[in-house]
Amino acid sequence: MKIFYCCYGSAHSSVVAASIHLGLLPSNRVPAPKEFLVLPHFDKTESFEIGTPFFMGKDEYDSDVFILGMASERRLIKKAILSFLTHAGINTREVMIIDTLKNVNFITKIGGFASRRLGFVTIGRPLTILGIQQKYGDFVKLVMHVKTTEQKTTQLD
Amino acid sequence: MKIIYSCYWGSYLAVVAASLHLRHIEEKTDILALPLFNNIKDNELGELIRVGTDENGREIFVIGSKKSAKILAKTLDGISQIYGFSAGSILFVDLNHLYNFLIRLGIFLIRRLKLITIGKRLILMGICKNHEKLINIVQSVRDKPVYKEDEA
Repeated sequence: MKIFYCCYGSAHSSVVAASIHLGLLPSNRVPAPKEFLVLPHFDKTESFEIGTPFFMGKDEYDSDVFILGMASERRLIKKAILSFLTHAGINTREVMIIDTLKNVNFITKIGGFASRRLGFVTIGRPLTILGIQQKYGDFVKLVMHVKTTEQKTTQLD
Repeated sequence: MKIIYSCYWGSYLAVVAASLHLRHIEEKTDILALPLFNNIKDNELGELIRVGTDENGREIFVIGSKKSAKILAKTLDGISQIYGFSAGSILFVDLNHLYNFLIRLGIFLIRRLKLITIGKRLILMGICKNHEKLINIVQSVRDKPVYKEDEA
């Protein structure tokens, strides 16, 4: 199975969700800022990389976990991926595409814009982390939900 | 190999380019009779619609990708590599730069004012203005080396 966590720029919320999924971030407490900073791609993805899927790791069910930035047309791009895979003869039951942007609050958005779009990393980066810390419980819930679905699908096969 | 012609709504420049590629258009007025011309619904945006297969066995698709063509090209490229298809197995052709005033006006008349007949005529005029460029793009796509996927 392949799991894609998607957001606007694949720099913040998708990285956090994929990292919780892979155990790079804890599920039982809110991580400290420095734990976010060491994550691959966190607040690093450049604008020109939006659209390119990045591999984050393999989970305990042997599924590949990716992050993907889709900018503003996330539903359209999700549809295109599934449509492409169907035409390529791939079973789309083995694919999960999860939009993580709904867990992003205003503070993370401002921070992300400052850091990624304007290049003010020193101001933007701590704000992205603060916003994610505030919503961390929702990220954990989302990943748990994904894992439940993943487990069911994997067991069926 | 999959060739995907893309434009904002999918049903104008992309359909014409795909049909030129497949040699479905002999005269410019044939454009109005193409089954997909002005006939891709909003809920079909983002879907790959198969138009046919060319003489080299390449599958020809159209897609309406709104403003996301550049991102989508990278995504589909990445996805196809993740699934083990090599880089040459997919060719994404973005045609958004060939929209002109007449095409936009025609689309506006069709979508906002429901003036379908006159809208289609204007789009046809707009496409005819860019016909040469469109033919050149399609020709350069047709001339690309044919990439045959391994059956394995």
